Amino acid sequence: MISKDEFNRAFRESVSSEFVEIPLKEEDID
Amino acid sequence: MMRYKYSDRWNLAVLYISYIDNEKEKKILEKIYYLYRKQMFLVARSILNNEADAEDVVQDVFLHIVSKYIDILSRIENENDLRNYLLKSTKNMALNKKKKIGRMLLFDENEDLEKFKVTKEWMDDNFEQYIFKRYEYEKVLQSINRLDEKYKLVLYYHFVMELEVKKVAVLMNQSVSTTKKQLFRGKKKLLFLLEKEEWYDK
Repeated sequence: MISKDEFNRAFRESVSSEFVEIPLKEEDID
Repeated sequence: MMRYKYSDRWNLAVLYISYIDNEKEKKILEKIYYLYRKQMFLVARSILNNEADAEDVVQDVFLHIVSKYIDILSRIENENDLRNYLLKSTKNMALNKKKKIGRMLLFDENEDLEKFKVTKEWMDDNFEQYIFKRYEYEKVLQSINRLDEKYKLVLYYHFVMELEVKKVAVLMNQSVSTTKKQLFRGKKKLLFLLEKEEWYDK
């Protein structure tokens, strides 16, 4: 079971994953 | 195909490294493993929009290197050259996997999509409630990630941003009629993917 908030979060995460920038250096990655 | 958990996959990579006798080659593989695997993963994920598939791609690139190109890689002295090679290989392999998934989807759709009948679940309120009751977060996220971009956006604007169809049509720069069709098709595809998620793990 998921809640409406989780459903919305899944969509937001999926849409924003397109805008992930690839860091130039490993140390820039959290 | 058996799928490994993230930690299992990388334990496998470490195991491969431990079997390498040549010290120079071993160092190269360790460098790739410790310095570049996250970047490779991010490149693959940006193309596939799916963490499990991205992990598979990185693992595949790694195994590819071990089996065929370790000799060439161990001669690369410039760090940028090595990084470029690894990320380019990862990108190509991710694009190939994306095509493969596309073909699998097409095949799957031909086989099964039409079996989905229009029921009361297709109504907006029922659609959300139907998903809330039956599926877990990770499964929903994976299925959303597999949606075509146009369907994902239309569903996002309508269900998450709670915009009425007319406003979604304006945002998408298309007619209301097209938007309605995409909403219907998007809902159908999302439910289809949720039902079929286990199929991808086989």
